[in-house]
Amino acid sequence: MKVRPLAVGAMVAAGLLAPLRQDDSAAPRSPVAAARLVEDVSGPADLSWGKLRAWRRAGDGWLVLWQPSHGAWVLRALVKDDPHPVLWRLQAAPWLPGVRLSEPLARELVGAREVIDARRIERLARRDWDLSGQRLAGGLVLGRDLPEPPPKRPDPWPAMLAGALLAGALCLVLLPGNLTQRWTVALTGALVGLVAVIPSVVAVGYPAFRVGVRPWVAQLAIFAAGSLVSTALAAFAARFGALRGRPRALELGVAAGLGLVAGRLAPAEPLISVAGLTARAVVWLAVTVALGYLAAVAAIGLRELLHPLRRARLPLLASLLAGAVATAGSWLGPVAAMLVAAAGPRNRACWTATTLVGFWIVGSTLVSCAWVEPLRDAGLLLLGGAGGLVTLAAIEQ
Amino acid sequence: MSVLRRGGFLIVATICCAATIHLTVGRGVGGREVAVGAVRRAFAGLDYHPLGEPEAFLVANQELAWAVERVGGDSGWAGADGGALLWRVHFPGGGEGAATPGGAVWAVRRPIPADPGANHFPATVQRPLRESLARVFPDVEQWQWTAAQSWREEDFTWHRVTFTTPAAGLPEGWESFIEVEMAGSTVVSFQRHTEPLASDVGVVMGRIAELELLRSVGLLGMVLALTGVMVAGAEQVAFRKNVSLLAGLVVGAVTWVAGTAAGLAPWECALGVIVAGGVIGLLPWSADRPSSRLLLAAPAGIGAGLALLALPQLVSALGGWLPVRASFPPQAGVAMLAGKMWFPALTEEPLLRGALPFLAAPIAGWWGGALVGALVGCLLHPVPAVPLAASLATEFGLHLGMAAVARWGGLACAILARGLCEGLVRRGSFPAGGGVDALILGSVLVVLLAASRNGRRRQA
Repeated sequence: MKVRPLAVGAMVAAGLLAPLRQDDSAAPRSPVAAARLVEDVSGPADLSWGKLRAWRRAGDGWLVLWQPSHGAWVLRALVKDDPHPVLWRLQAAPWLPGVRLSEPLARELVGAREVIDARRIERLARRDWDLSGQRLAGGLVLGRDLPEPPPKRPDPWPAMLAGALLAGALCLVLLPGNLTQRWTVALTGALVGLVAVIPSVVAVGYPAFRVGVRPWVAQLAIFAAGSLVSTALAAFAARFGALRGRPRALELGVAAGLGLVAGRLAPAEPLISVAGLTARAVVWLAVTVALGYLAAVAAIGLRELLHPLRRARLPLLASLLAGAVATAGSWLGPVAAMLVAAAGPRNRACWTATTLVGFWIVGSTLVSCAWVEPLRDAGLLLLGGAGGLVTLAAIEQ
Repeated sequence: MSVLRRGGFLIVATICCAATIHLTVGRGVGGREVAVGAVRRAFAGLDYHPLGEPEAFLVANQELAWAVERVGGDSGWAGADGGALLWRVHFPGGGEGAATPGGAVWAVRRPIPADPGANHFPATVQRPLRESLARVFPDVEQWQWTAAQSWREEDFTWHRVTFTTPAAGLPEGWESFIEVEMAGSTVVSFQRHTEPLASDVGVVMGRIAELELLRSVGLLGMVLALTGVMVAGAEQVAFRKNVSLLAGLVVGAVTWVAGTAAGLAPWECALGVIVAGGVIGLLPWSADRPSSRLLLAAPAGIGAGLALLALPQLVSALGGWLPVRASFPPQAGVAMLAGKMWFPALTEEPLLRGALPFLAAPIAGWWGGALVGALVGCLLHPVPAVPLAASLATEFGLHLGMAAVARWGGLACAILARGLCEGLVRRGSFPAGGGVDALILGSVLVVLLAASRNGRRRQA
């Protein structure tokens, strides 16, 4: 009787099926479908929208963005999961010419019947009106203000990750052990793949598309930023390497189960946006290897920092994990990878962390996307990953 | 041999000084006295004689200046028309005005007299208003009355009138109007306005927005490089290797002073201090680094400045546009120019030419790191251009040049060369005058003296 493969399979199944508190907020449609909904039913009719450039998951809806190639205006729309009504807002460059409407005419144009607050904004060659959130640029109706995302609170988890990463890098220099460059090669390969598909990934760079900035410049900026970060990561990995170690199926099974739970507990909003891409699998792979490697280095640093605690180390890591589950939100995946890898031996940290991050992405996608393509891809990855782990367990036994 | 060497040094120094004088003297924004005289004459035309010696300072509308320059091409003063560049004149005894460097009065405001004369009815104010203005603007009869409003304050009737004026000297499609205020029978103030064609100013404002976005990518690159410096520095401390903390502190302090003089926000100064101090203080000064040949600094800096100043004409000949002048500073003064010269030199050169090649050397070699540094650096300070690539290519060329200087002359040489180059390039955006010229020429002399002393020490 081969118990170990069964145990590993059971861990993955437990991570997938464990009953968790969920708020049923899976996105029912892809961002492209949401954009098509806006194009069909709403938006300014008498203006060229340009192409669909970017999207972003915002709470229980999609923010989608169109911009013509000259970049002089940007159309944003918020499509809630319950899509009625669709909110849209046009932003026009301040230098675009227009007309100077009086307040009564402006009210007439937006169809305001009741008394509303009116604010006049003088531009270079036109007059804008803000009528209690309804905007006019010259004689052009701009739609309503979209809800602002809530301000981000300072988060201690990224700071903890960064500190542990610095400590880990120093540990790899001071106490190197048996270093290997295989992870560097894998990471570099994954990042090269990512850079190659960046032109089809720019849609998740929503903040880069601005009024007055031509879309190709925004896309160039995203490409440059992605290339820079990828180069820095590859250089970091080449400088510090990783510890050589053979993976253990049971440890990886635990990591996989925990990763699935972490993804299902707190799906990361950026991952939901990535699920809308056609090149999602390449991004998942690059993110898995990059975050897994960085979490492993951070885990090595955290392990050495907690070394003086001796027996108290594991309870402390467990309590940190409990704290992360409660408060880390979108950071739960990398933080859990660091904490779980720090609980195990140094030389297997990369395997553990990468497995946890990979299954976190799968879990997050399964629970937050309800349209077929990402579910299919995530399902295939889940089957492939679980199959690989079970095979590894069988070989070990 | 020593005589030959000394003679060679003297020849290089003489050429450098001559080139600096050629590139600085007479290249600033002149017309201060002309503008003051024009404002005085305008006041005299309004029957007001201001007392005392006025203060005059330069103000610029950057977007408008670049838009005028792009549309106007090589003709006349780049960016001086349309009120983009004004001398604002303050008289200590009351009264202020503004005029272009060419002497066109742009705005005037005089104190309200105790007895401003008889009040006019709104319906009859046009004729006396035109007659009052005719003593300042001979072409006032050609102006078109556009809008007017009147109101009563105490015993006087005020009138505010807008005239559309002929847009002489402005690009096609641009409009110009003037707002005049009159109390009783006295013209108290007038102010010209220029309304550019939306597409002309849109090109410039769009490019500025695009370059801001690209600059954020450059800053990301600098932050990543700084992270590498911190990790490498921590490694140095952990292995108890020698670190030059004192040198780092000194360079950091100098950087703070330069940033403050350049009018930068405290956080920018602090970031500059961390960058410059961190690189100089924490990175190891290994033997494989190029040694300092400071004699290269002044010729390299002046040569780079000369090339950058010549590029707009080249781009124009190829059918594009690159601004002749760098961006105008918020305040024009010697200290401001000193800050603008040395802050980028002290922060960017150590990071892009010192730290990045050092960090990248084991993986991509010194030149690989320098190339990444040039790619990051070219995103930091480009000015709007048509096509945009012209500006990025110009900056990339400058940074590649500085990489070559750093490779053959050492990091200190690159810092000095970059400072001199920045001074020469920015000279045209500062007022003409001896102080600013003396600063640049003095910097060149100091760099040459340092090179001479360094050469003697190497020889010894």
